Amino acid sequence: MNSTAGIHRARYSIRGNRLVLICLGLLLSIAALSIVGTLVSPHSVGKIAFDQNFIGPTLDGGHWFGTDDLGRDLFVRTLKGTQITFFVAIVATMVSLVIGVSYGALAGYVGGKTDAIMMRAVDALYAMPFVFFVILLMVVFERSLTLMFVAIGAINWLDTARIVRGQTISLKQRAFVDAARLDGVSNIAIIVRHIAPNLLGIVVVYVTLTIPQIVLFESFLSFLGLGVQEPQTSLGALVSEGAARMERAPWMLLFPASFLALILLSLNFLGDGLRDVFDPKSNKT
Amino acid sequence: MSLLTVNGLTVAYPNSKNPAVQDLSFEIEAGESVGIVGESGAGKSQTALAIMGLLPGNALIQGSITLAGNEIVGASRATLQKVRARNISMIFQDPATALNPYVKVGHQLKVILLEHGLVARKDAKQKCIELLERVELPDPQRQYHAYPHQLSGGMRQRVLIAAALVGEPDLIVADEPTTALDVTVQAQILNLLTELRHKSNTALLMITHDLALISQNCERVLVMDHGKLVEEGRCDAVFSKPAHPHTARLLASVSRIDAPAPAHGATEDSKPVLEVSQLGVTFRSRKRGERFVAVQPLDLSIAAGESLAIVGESGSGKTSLARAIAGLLPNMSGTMTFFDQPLAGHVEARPKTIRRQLRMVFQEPLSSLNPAMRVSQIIAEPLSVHAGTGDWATVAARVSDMLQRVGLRPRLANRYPHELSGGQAQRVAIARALVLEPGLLICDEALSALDGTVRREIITLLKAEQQRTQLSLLIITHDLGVVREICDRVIVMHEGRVCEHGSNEAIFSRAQHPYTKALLAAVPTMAMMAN
Repeated sequence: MNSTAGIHRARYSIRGNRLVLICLGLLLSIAALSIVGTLVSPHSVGKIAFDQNFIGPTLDGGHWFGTDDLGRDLFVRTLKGTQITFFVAIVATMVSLVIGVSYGALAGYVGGKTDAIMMRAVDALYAMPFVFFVILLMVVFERSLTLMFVAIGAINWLDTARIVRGQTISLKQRAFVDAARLDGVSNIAIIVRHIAPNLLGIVVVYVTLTIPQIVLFESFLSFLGLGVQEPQTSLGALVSEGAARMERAPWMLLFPASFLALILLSLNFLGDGLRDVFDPKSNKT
Repeated sequence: MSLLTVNGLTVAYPNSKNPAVQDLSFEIEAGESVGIVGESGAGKSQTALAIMGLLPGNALIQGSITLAGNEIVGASRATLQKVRARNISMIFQDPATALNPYVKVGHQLKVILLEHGLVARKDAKQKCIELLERVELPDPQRQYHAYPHQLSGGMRQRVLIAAALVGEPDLIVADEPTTALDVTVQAQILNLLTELRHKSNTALLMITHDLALISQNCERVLVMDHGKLVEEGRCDAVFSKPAHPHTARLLASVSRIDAPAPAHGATEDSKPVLEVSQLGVTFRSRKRGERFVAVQPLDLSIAAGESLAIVGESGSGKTSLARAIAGLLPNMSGTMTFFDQPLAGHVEARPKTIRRQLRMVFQEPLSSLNPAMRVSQIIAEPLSVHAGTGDWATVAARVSDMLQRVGLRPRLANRYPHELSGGQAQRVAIARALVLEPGLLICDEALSALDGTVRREIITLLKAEQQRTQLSLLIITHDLGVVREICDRVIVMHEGRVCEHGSNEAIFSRAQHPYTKALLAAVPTMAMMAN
């Protein structure tokens, strides 16, 4: 079950969809730059040099994006921040996917009372003020990346579970599921082999729309000072610092903010394009 | 001058190699009725849409279509709008989807009247009710305020016909107007259409895959194959002496209720495979306490190698019965015995030895195949579930053997369902059902979605399997022609009850029950067809 009809279809039409290709290329080059750039630059993330603070973007001395108020190199910090942002987004998405897809598929497939109880639990969780909840977590426990993944993933899986459940219910009524039951396929195997692969299309699209949400949420937490801890940094934290020094050193806002904007735009367009690609009605091969 | 002249019409799409319609020319005189017949993909519907000026924007159209002096190809929206309703109108295939579910049917008619300025606003309602009266809709005053879901399929199709008649058009294009309807309703609708046409001298272009319908309702017929017109002429001439081999093939594929009955598949001393006693199905409505009895308690049995048909119209409970026997409906009552063992009502409660003996083929081939699995995986799945099937190579060998038995090339094994045609997909579904060498195969309208020639091939395939393995068939269908051709015994169901039960010969030549008689009388037959 490595390849599925969805991916099969996608392979044909991604080629024809220029927007998707451009966004994908852009994201990959930003990711590559963030890794290569930190290796190439002579500076390190945490090194403070008070005598070199507030240097504007320059080619001399390797401060290509300038330095911040503590004399740290902004080029390295921006790229490190990008890495962390990507990392948080991908891991948190994975967390939300694993929980959401299995929870939603199970509730949808079993149906009846189980479904009702499981989904009311989701409703109850929805009712909790999550930002407050996350802030509380961050304050009580040590601030750590792991905690951040857990917190963000814990919010996002609720949406995933709802979407997946709805899809599962409509898939469950298709004749191929009846056929599998007559074949004697076990319920777990029906979910894994027959339901899950057919959810792929909608899940992939949903993921590309979730990642920007998570990136934004992480930035928001960092902006509040609850995100990653110094000397590590994320794009959100950098934007927050940059915003504070905007008048004295506009480049401190400009570079991280453009990276963040570029990533978010690409992801949103990618999600939009993928929605067309995975819509079975939009193309027939 | 002809009412409609189609000259050298070619319709092509940028992404497909072959044009959907190729160099098509024909004419329709005022008041004439012409049928277009062909299999799916023959270009029938594309022709209808071209005449209506409804082809999608990416269609490349060549040639000319002249309707009452107006050129349709390349016409502006305004011209088309003027021609539609007054000169030409269309009856769509599925009345359930052609009507807007959120708007009252009377209002949908009124909109058309007002849009074309055919009547003053204050008279519109009265005019609509008159139209509904003309199509013999019962109680038009009340139905004017009904939503489409409150009407039956036949009543909805009457509303669509009323909508088509709004502007007193010269030509009505009917694209498979009765395919979604039961056979008795079909007969009523077609009678109505003919009657209305004769009153107002309206021409008809009817598109269908059913040759018998054309022979009964049309004067001339056009036979299309792969976008090309292969034969044209008067119905009696074409059907009695087909000149083109494709026409002959289409004619040969028609299942006729006046065909000779088949030889009995089961012998006198054949053991019963399935015995059902007092089986009933009741659905509980969402509203508390309300019950709906889909199947009244009934008995039936099938012997080894026998084919039993369950015939009925929609709502007769035949599909519920089939699903109950398959174990897919937990809300059933009664007892079942299968190969002398008690058969649990729920499929999950049945042991594997029973599951591999009792298999089912579903109506819609495409929805019964998992779109994410390859053909080989689909056929191999039952093998892998019922353990002891051996290693990968053995499974692969059995899969390719099975593919050959159902008449598919082995290289199709790597395809996905959406890359198959309807007929191929149904063969795959049958292969999946037969790969475990079952004792009983339930076919729930398994042949209904297929073209005539494909259906013919599948019938032959099922018969061959029956000969080879003493397979018993339980065939659920509304198609009496198919029943006549392959079934030994027939059960006729109506509103959850068995009306009549007898041998093929008894039902078709000595029907007792009035419902059976009505059903048989409603089946369109091809009287003029040569043997």
